[in-house]
Amino acid sequence: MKKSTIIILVSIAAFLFFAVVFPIGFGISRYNRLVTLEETVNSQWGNVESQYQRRADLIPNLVATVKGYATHESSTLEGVMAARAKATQINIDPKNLTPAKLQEYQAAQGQIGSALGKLMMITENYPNLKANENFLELQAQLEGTENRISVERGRFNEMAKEFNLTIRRFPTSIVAGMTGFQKKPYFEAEKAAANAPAVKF
Amino acid sequence: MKKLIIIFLCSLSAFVFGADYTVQTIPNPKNATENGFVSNPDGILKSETVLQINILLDSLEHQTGAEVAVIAVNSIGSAEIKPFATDLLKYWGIGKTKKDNGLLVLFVLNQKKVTFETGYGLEGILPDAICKRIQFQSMIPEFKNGNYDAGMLAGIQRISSIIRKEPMQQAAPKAPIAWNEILPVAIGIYILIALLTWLWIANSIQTIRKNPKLTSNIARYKTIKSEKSGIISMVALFLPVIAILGIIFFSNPIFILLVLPIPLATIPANVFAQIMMLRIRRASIPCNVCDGKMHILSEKKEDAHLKLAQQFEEQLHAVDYDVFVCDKCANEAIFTLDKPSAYSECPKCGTKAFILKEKRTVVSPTYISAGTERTTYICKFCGYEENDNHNIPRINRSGSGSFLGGMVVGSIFSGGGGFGSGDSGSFGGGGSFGGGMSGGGGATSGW
Repeated sequence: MKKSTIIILVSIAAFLFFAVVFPIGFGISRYNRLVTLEETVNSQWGNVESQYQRRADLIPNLVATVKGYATHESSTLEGVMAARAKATQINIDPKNLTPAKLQEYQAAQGQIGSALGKLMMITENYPNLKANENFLELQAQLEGTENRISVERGRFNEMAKEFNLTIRRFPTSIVAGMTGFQKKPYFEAEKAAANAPAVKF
Repeated sequence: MKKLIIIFLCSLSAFVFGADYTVQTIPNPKNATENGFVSNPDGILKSETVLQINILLDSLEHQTGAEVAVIAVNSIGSAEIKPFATDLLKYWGIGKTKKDNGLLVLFVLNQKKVTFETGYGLEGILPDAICKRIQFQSMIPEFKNGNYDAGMLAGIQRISSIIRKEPMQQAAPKAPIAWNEILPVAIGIYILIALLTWLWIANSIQTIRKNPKLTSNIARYKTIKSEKSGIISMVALFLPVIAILGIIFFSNPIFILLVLPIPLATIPANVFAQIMMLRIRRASIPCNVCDGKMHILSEKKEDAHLKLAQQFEEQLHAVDYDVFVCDKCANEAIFTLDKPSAYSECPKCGTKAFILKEKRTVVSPTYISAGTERTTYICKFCGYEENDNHNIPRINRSGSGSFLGGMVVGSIFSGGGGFGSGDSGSFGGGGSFGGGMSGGGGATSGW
């Protein structure tokens, strides 16, 4: 074999390696990383949902307790129950989590939140209710659940952010574009929480 | 200009009241010492309190693996206490990895708030309602009066007792004992035991009666007696011991009361055997001279057939003599039954009337030398006396029994000592929390 033939063969092999084998290998490893990341986002979505579910599960008990004391507040109580019924109908499959769906979900849960806020406001007028052991514990549980919701939502946003950054960065963006990974939506800050607390002196 | 004033005021307040801590700047107690659990940079808690809490939490971690961190600071700036606690728990990694059994107690003086942040693994043991209850019942009332040490200590003690008790709460709640259901069954069992014991004894009496090897009434009597005591002790002692062991290991110790009547259940069988024994002993036997039958004589009548020494033995209840006389040929037979008694046979006259008269210490033993004891035996029939000198071993300062006991106890304890070492390995070498996570569980209270 001539020396030049060997050189040609080697350069063809090198070209094949850099043009075909390496990109495919790189693409596979990037793809696998994206799958892992997406899966963590999905499981975090599960955590968020389960905390919202936890709050929804507290509501019937809470309403029953309040009903015993606050007899004239049936409209508020019904409002809470209606918001709960509506929100529990909305279930999102994390695999097709779109901004529109997330917004719908968040709006429904936000209604529960504001209905519960109203309910808690009226309980201020019933000193007997506020002294009820059962009510106090439900209140503590509700408070804890709200904390948990905000923690899990925050973690969801962090993970979604990491995922979104990864699929948009070059060269992973090419793999993501080819395999059809979609950007994950974020939870928006609650409207009440958006107002930064004023500094008072 | 306004901004500058704010910055100036903030730095001034930081200077006066101490720094506004952030999650990153709060000193981690694990950096100072390995078994520190309290971060008290502003000296809000007294050093005795910190020491007490550290000891409590150190033993809690060794027993349950749960890591509890206590932080008391003046200010965390304008940060909200609850998210701050969540972040701090994650940042320090309080609780063991995977188990997430960490708890953070954050006290912020200028916000007048205290919050518990429970790791995922402790949410079941310390639900928010329980956290709130601890805060409201044990901590807030003290904090209101400025007793930060007392409040913190009381709260930590309750937390630790709740975490400790957790495995115990899994035990089934004690149901009231349904005596009216148990008693009929128990009485049935007693009757069954009584019947079975009766059958057993009756059966062995029957076998003994037919045993050709046992030729005399006394021999049968003795065999039945030993058989009877064997059966009775089997039922009255062995059975209850088995029952007690079973009850202790499997359920409520109160049922041991039910074991007590088991020996009573053997009474009918015992009485029956006693009667049968007497009847067999007194049964008439065939005469070995003529073809007549020999009958037993009563205790009064038999004296005429007995020697003086034998009568004396009967009086001492040392030996029982049964005299049988043939109704046809006046042939007589005397059977001897040794009774269990303190008497032994006199070496001189052979009468069973030899007994210990006195025991006297002639020379007392000391720590240095052995002593001597003299025992005197006397025959009550012939008056023969016998003396015997024994050595009394010298007194030991510590008995070998207690030494052995100590060794056994020691080995049990040293065996137990090995347990804890398994867990401590999971602790980071340079001292750190285990790496736990929380999800915003817990409760916050203000005062």
